[in-house]
Amino acid sequence: MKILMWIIVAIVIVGGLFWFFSSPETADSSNNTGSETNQANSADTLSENGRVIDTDDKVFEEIDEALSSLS
Amino acid sequence: MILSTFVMAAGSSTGNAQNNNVIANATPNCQIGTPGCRDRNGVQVNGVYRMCESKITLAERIKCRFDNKDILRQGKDYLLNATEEACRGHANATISACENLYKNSAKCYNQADAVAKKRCFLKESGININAQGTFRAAPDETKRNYVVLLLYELQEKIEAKQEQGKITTDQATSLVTKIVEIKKLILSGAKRSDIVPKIQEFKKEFREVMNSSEVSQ
Repeated sequence: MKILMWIIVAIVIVGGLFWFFSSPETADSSNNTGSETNQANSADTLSENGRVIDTDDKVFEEIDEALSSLS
Repeated sequence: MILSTFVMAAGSSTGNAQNNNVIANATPNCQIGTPGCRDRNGVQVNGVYRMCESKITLAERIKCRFDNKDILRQGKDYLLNATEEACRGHANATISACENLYKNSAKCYNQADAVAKKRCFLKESGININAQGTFRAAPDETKRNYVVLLLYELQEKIEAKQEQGKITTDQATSLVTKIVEIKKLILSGAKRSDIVPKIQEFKKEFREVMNSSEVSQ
């Protein structure tokens, strides 16, 4: 009987953990962190994968970034 | 010819003289349309070329070029040995480097594709785009060149808007004058803390003028 209870408790805990990590809020938070890292990397990388300067605002962003990196 | 056309399109309000000594030694009394005026090297210059160069302030010279763009285009000499306003007044080595940057980057402005244009700017700035490097790791001089080329990009848009009548000559003159002053500051090796406030001031005015031109359409 005790063993059965421990099995049920274990199933509830594992199920709870599974639900927590697969919930949309947690998943979004995780993705946002990854996205922010990627944006930072791409903005700092001097390749065509970085910011495309196709608008005035993006040209200004590019200028600001280049100036902020002056030593 | 293609290069000459570009030079007129990009930076035409700021790059149309060799240096002040040339003007000082040019044929005297050249007026608008006067044929046969020559600089000290014997190169023919038209009257407007001299007239704009004889203006004392930067803003006056830029406004003069805006006001006389069509006449200036007629003189092919205008396109020869041009020195961009931003390149003037520096040490000889800086002037030479600045002129080379201006000439070598001319082709970038013909790129219709934004990615190709950026790649061209980076390359001509001296930033090694194939080295998997980062902005911060690139030498300061190359990043300064890059900002100068980006400012040209904005200048070209201002000149196009002025030519289309979407902004006034006074608005264009004020903006291009600010661009030249910032470029001179950057090329002279000024500190970031001196450059950034000027950029912010220019950005504010640029957005106000461009927004007003869109509202008035």
